[in-house]
Amino acid sequence: MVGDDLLNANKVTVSFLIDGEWQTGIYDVDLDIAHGEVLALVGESGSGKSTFATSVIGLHNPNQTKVTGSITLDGKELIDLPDEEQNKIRGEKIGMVFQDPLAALNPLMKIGQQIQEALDIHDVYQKDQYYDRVIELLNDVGIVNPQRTANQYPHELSGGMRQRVIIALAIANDPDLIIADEPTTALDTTIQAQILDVLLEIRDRKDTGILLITHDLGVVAEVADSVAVMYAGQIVEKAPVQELFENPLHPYTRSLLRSNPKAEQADDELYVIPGTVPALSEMDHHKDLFLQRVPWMQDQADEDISDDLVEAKPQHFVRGNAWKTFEFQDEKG
Amino acid sequence: MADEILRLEGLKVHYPIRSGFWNRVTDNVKAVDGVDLNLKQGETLGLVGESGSGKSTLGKVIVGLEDMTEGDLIYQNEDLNSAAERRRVKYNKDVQMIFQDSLSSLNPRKTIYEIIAEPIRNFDPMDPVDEDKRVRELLDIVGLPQRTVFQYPFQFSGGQRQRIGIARALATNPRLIVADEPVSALDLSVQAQVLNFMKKIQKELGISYLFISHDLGVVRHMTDNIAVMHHGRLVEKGTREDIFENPQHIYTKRLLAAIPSVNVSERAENRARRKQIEQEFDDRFNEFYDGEGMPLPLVQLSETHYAALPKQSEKE
Repeated sequence: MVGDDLLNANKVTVSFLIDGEWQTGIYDVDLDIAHGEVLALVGESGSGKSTFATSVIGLHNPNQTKVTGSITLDGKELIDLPDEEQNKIRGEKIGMVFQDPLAALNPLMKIGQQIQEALDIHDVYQKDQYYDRVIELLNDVGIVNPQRTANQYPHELSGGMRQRVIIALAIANDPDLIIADEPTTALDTTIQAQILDVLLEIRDRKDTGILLITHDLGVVAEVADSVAVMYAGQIVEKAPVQELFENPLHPYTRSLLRSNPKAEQADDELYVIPGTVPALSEMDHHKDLFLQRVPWMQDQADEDISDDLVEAKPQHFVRGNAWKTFEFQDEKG
Repeated sequence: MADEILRLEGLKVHYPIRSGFWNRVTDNVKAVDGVDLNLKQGETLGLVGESGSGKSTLGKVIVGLEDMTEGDLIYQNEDLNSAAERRRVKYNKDVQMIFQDSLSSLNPRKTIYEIIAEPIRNFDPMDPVDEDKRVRELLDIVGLPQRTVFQYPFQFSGGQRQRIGIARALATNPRLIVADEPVSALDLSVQAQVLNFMKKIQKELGISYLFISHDLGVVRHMTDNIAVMHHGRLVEKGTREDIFENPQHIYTKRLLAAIPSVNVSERAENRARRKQIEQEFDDRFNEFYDGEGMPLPLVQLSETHYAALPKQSEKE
């Protein structure tokens, strides 16, 4: 199912101009997504997951944001593309699904018109094919009565239906890559399951690569092929999904997995990660920043570590050295 | 278990739809349509269901933010159906709420001190020295540093703001707190903090919670008993074990099957099972719901377990 490389991000660093100073929000991120692969990017709010996505599609403000490194899609460099070319890539090569489906739809346009507009901007389909294509797309995302939905306004649809429409818009021009930023966070569990099914079906049919940004570990475990864990703007661990859940290495990954409520320990106290993500100005990306939040490993928190991830096991990459000795306090013998 | 603190009987909340000539009432939206519930002292009751099921409306009726159309609200054996009666028994002081969105539920122009002191001034006015002491004590309880007392809500992180909301709810020494999705906007690590904290103060202060959430993982962690709501009615209620180990209603089964599992090796099976249950839900919808798409009345299955099952499966 997983084929050749589709997206290659290489040493991507993003800085923001804050109060006249450049501050680094994302540092040295390497990520690859193959055709037909679902890569989940996980982390807390403020870890830089969404920033990474906006730099891939060039939605950042160029006056206040500096992106360096290289992001290629099928070999074509995306960083610093001129606007016209950028616009061509967005929608035609990369489709986007955002968290809030109501904010992403025009309230004054019928669903069918909005999808036609997306088709009209790119020349993938001929004008006389538009209507059929709209119906086909709505059908593809599991809308039962596409003719009727095409004729409705966004406010007439439920949250789950709107998110299906957003996905239909994202795939309108058969993109190679879908970036889904928290696509199910605003939805009920039952609807979430259906939306994830829709994304996976599209992947199976069209071999689309999917960058799934989420903070929900359950969602990751259900749909991802591989996982990258982000903390304070850096990837701290990267592995195939099963390996990551069964054998997490980095202290941050292990802490996150441990704070997720589990059925077996319903009455125990949940594990709490002390402290918070450091402010941008306080991020020294040459250190293992998560160790600031591990009181019993302060001796390693000031150590400079390599920018490169270590391949601890085949296909399983982890940052720094702390994973070799990390233990939860109650596990220490 | 301990004494009953709150009982709802036949609670209905209908919103009129007006249209036509003279703008007459032509129909009603039945947000809550006949709910019976009871809550014991020191207990956590989970109320689950999808958005639009009426669970938040029910919570709002309990704290008095929404009026009921019909039914009884019985608090410590007193039937409270008017605002005057609620004031008489200090109901509004005893019953408080924690909201989902901590930013929009805190006044941005007030300091933390003023936010927490407001319910004290409303219900329990005291002299400024005592008030100051009480506010600082509450900050201590929720684990916020004293120096934050004159800061504004935007200066706090989401988890800290949620704790300010909890401090405000605790200010009047309530007996019952309605928590409407208290952690759904929070990151995992912060969520763990808030949940642990809610459990801790429950143990110390003996508070009851009505815990409203659509996240069944969190509900399983927090609650003793669970009520499942769909289309404005309860479809099943029972102990945590009844609901999670032995669900009877197709809707409960469907909710449970949709919880994403972190067990990667079984995801194909989980998915197949979920699809099968979704199919069963569609196929058997008419058995479990009446002609108007409303759930059937609850049937008692065991001492603790109730479900809205069709007549024939009662014998099973």
